[in-house]
Amino acid sequence: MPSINPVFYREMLLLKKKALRLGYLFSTLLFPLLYLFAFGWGLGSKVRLDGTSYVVFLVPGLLAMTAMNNSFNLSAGSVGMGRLYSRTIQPILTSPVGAYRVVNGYLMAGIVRGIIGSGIVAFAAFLLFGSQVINLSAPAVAGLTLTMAFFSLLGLIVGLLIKDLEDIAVITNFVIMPMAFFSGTFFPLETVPVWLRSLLTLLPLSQVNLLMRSHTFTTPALTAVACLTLFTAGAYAVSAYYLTQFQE
Amino acid sequence: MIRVQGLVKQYGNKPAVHNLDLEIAQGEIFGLLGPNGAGKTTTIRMLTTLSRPDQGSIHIAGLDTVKDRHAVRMLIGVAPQERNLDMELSVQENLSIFAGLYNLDHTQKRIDNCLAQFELQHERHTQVDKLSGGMQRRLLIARALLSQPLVLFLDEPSIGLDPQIRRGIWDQIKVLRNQGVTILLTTHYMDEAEMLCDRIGLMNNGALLVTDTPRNLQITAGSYMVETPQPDGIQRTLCHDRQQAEELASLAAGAILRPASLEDAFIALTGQE
Repeated sequence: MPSINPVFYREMLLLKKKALRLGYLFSTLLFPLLYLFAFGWGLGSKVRLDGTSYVVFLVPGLLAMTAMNNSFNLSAGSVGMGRLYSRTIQPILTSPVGAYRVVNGYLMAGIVRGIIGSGIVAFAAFLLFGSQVINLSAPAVAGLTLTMAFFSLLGLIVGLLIKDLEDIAVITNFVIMPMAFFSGTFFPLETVPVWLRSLLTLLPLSQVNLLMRSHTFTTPALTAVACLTLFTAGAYAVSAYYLTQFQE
Repeated sequence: MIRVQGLVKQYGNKPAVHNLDLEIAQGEIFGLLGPNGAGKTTTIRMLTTLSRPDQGSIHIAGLDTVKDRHAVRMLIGVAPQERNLDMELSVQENLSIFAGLYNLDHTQKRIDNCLAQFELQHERHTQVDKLSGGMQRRLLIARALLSQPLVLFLDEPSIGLDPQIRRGIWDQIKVLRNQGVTILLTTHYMDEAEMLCDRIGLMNNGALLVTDTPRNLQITAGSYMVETPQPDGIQRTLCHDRQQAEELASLAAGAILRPASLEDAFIALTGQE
């Protein structure tokens, strides 16, 4: 075997098999692409925000949302399914591989899947609306990377803690999905009441969306990077803790 | 090789394993038998570091399974009851991942040897879900042996397999014993336990009732079985003495006298069929 992280290697092999299935690709990318077509084409040409096209606002948010969903679902699904259903996680947990290597493996795999998902959506957006909708600035890249890292780790924690596979759907429907809608993906947070805005700004995806639309490291952008780094470090420590404490 | 002292595990208020003491020597095949819910799986989970004891200790080759968890994991191989292989991946890929988890050297040579030992060399590139149940079971054991463990845990190694394939797996287990591997297996098949195990431990309600050789267990429970037809079924009586068994059999028409089996001993000692 190549001398790479075995957990990452396993996840990549599984991803390669799954990626060739049409159903898998559809379930992963259908919603972001639908949003892109519906809101981009439908509203994009009619609505302007701060003097620019709505599409320019929308696409970075959709990329962040896609990265979040893909990274979270890979880890939560793989660990949850492997622990509760196929029990394929147990050989990893009874092997001498350290908890940090396991965390690193899922972290890297989640990042790769986030890159693939958001890459496809970015390519579609580029084809439909041109290069002006893609922001490849340093804050945007940092934001996207931290999104993928944080949500992979969050997925790992969820996968380790859930009692039933349906719990993943509950978390997706009641945490991940609302966060996608209320973190400035589809509309600016400036439009919500002040009391709610301060609450929504604390959400990780709000920080990411701020970075996705930044072109330089301003003070708010640097604060967002610091917050996301803190969230990610916290999630890393928690997931490593749960792995070391794991028992059946 | 394995020393278990005062092992206790509870799930909520329900005791799963209660004050279990056990010693297994190097190169021994030890069978853990018991009815469903007896505590076998919980015991195996603790022995394989997947679960921590509430009380007591487990030492494998002198290493504590809680304090020296990682070192213990290098010494053991586990072939669980469930076929927890990556079904979408090939045989080679499954073994490669496992070799990576154990950071093994000479990976390909080890994989080749394991595949040859379990006659899976022609299935190297076959996706696991395309293998027969028997081949999957052999792959599970091959995977457990990849790191050349000192101790092998086999949880129901031949469950659901054809008699011919079961025999093949038994032969492999005997070969491993001859190589000096210590084996702890759980099984529901009495013939399997009788055929393979040097010693057997009977568990019931979380406790180890008795530990002995299969032959001695039969003698302890009674060497002769008298089956007497009754209106509501068959009454079974174990007898230690042949004369006593013959007398009992002569009292009822249609009574059968036969040598007692390990299964008879199991039922008599655990009180469950």
